Amino acid sequence: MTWDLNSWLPVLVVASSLVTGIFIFFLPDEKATARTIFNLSGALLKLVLVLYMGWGAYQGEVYEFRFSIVLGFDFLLRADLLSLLLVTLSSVLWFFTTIYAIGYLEGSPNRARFFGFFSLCVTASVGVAMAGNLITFFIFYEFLTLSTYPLVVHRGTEDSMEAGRTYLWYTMGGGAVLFVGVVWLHVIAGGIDFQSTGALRGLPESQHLALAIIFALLMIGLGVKAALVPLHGWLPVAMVAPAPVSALLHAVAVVKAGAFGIVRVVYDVFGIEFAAERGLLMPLTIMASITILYGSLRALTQDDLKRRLAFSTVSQVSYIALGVSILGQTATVGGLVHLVHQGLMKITLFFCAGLFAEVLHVKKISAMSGIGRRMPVTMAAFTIGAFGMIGVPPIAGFLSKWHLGLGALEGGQPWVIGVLLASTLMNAGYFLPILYKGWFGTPINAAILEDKPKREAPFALLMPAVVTAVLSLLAGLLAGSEISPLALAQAIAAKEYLP
Amino acid sequence: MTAHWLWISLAYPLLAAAVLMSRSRSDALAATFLRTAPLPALVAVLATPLNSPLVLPWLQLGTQFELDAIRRIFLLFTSVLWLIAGWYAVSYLNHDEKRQRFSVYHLLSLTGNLGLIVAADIPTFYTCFALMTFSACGLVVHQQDEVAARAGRLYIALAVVGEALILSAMLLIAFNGQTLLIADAVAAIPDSDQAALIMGLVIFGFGVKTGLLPLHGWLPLAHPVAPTPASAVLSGSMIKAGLLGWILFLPGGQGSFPAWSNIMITLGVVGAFYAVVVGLTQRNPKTNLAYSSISQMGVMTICVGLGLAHAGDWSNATLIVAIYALNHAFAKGALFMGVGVVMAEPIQPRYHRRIIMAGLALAALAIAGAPMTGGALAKRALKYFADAQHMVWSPALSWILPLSALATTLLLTRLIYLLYRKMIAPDREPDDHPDLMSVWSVGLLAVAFMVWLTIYHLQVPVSTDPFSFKDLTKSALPILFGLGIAWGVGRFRPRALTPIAAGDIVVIYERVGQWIAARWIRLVAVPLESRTASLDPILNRVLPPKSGVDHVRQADERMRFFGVSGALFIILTMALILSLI
Repeated sequence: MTWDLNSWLPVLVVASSLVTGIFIFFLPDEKATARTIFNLSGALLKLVLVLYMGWGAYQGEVYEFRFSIVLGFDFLLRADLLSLLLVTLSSVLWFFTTIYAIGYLEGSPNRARFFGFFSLCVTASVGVAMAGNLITFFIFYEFLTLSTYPLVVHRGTEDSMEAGRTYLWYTMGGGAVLFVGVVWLHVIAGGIDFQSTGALRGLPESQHLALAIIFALLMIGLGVKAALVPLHGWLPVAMVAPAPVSALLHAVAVVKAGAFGIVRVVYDVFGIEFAAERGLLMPLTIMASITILYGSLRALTQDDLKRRLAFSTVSQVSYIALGVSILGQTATVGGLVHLVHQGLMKITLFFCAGLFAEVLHVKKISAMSGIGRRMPVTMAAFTIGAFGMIGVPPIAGFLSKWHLGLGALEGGQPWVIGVLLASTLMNAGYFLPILYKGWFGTPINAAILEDKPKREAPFALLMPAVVTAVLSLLAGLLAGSEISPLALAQAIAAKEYLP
Repeated sequence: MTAHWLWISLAYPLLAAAVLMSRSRSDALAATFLRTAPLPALVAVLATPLNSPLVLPWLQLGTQFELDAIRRIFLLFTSVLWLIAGWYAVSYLNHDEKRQRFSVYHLLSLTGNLGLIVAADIPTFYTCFALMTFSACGLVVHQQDEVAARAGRLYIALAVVGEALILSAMLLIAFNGQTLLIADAVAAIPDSDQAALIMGLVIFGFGVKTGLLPLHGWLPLAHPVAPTPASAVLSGSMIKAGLLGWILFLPGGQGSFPAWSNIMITLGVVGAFYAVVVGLTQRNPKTNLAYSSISQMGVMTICVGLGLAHAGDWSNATLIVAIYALNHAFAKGALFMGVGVVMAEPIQPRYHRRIIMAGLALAALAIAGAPMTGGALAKRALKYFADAQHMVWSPALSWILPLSALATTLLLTRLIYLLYRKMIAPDREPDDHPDLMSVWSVGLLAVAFMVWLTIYHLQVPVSTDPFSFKDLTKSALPILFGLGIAWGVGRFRPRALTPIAAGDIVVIYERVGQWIAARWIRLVAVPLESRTASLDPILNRVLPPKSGVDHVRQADERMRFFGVSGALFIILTMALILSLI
């Protein structure tokens, strides 16, 4: 173990929210100011550390922290470009979600518990991002399950307890399957670190069947959190959680941990070319395609806004798995960049859904008629997110679809374009009516009709939604610049293929 | 420096829209923006040198703007028509509560419409096309009633289908050509295995916009409900965006494509006459005009189809189409705006009426192609082009084209009759829109002179002699016949025709859509949903009685259980893996 800053920086990044979380647990509920200061300084500190680390990693610095734990497992935290993609997304969105959550939960009970677990949840997702091998990944992955459960059941109502139970069933089950896969792989291949282009190519032919089964186990374990159909059932139920939790769950924390795990396993454990040679990718492509279509179909008929968004997440997150499962750099870029794009757009949508519920108590789409008149800024942010999800340029979602489509052609699977198109049509089918109602509908809801002077949510609630909407727009508009998510995804993709 | 006008012409209306969005109740500003927004684009038409691209690598996937001979003609009529429509809109909407919102959508659609003309790379073109399409929906649904909602629904449904077809075409073209530059990527299409597929996607994808049969149904619904200045730009320039899409993305210059050529010509011919037949039964002047647009776009479709037949003819065909589009843009714009002028015409003085009638007649004659109008020039050029083709279609077209002019004469005579009836209606209360008449006069000037100005100023090589005796008579004959028939019909005063439902074929689409939605909800959505309360209440109208659903629902409850779903997943995955190993 070395003691220089480069090896401790990853630990600091993880610890910055862990320490914040622990401190907050010990603060009494009513000390709101102290908690806010803790929260925001923790979030800000993490953001600064991540940006510093990202800048360094871009210059070629190596940040690595390693020590041995039992049975020859290593605990390894590392910042490569791929982890930077998720770490940056997590810390940026965490910062804004914290601001949002502080405003959202003002005056409600059990805030210490909430913000404590909230910080732990981000700790876990940053850990997932920076894990350098499967066992470290697994530790944080399970830690994430445990730290999100209290958030899902935060309200303590019958509904949310039920949702929490479903959530635990799914994720613990998935975790168990994942664990079997991780241990089995350890037995066969020994302690291997994640490495670009994969680490299993050297294994003898006799192990290949075992590897295929392990791959399936890992995909199932990860597929639960990534909400692959038919493992998605927890996600639409878990939307009973408070809006900031849903926002984080759907954008960066849980579903992203699953999707990110799939990325890691395919590229940095098996290696995409090796996985393709063994025929492991096709099932994943098919599962992802089914999920994309199924999620969109279910979203079409939902009236509860958050529930419609949840099914949309089921569909959209599988774009990542789809991009990962197709051989070729362009598809890889599409999948990776969607990790960021989906996060930005979906968090915007959930922020807005929360604002509609909070300000006007509008939770059903059928009650949203004319809401754009009362809350034009919120509705504008929602519109950007929705158009992005449909894949309308210049918003970020278009670039994901564009690269996935080109990648599908490159990878010799043109049928995937059909899936993308069908999904696009359905996305339009379930988002455009909301936009139409919001902007052009005649108000029927009393809360919308009444003419209060105050029209929008307070600044602390509105600002995060606007910022993430603008970011989704800029990520698409300035994609050609060097610091765009697209540029980072291209840099990563270039390294994941054998020369 | 001059190339920078290209991005300025987009940035200005876009910024203007952003400013208007951030302010409430700023009428003066909105008026200024509406009246000046297309000006930078007009400067670009005059000042930007041809074929000198402007590259912005940081924007999107590397944006490139460019102007060539065809694009310049499109940019010219687009910017001038939007300019006139902007001035018109300011006075037309002077009493409208929602005029600021209208201005925002107007400016956004304008940005998209200008942008797709100057875009030289695929993503930028697609971006601008989408911006125009989606913003224009805000214009269509402006009046916010049930009729507008239905029109908007159909507009957006067909537009989204079109966008999806276009997107797949763009993906295939970009992949095939390994470049994002439109010209280079399209040049590679003929070598592709999927050339036929790509061309089909391009033709039908953009066909939604151009009103190609059977995708034309949105036009007769959207035009009447949109505010008049919006109908003018919709018919005048936005549907021409689809035409430009064909010109830019069909590989006409790279080979001959007889199959697609025949399909386009057939659809064009059918559209040119079918739309007139349906249009003649209409009583709403704007619906009549929408059908006239479908019919005229049919003629332009014929021309594009002719160009696809031989590689060498493409540049000629596109040029003729561009001139035809330019003439149609101004004339159709003037007719639409004329509808508003008729409604606003004061009862006194009486001589006003004659002036308005003369103006309407001028615009109508320009579309029908009367001698000395721009329409005659475009039609004669098309006629010579068709004759020179030596293909199966040539003899037929030498009859079809004059017949289409005759049909158009009938349709537009009917329009003028409808408008005249409106004007002399005893209970009419004139709308109060100052300056509408003067703006319209400028529009009529454009109808009269823009084609000539364009051809001589931009030195467009159109090889006809529009002033020869032969051409004058050949242009005049179909129109005289048409007027004669109209006069005869008018004399016998037949009982009024029962109008065919506006949008004709659209009614079938709606039925099919509702049928599918009802089945889907009954058979899939309801059984899958554990709580029916969470279903969209609009859909509840088609819900079945409760019984029979419960056991399916219980099965779904079980499905939630990880054991079952996990096992299913494992079995599925294993089966797939085993089949692949």
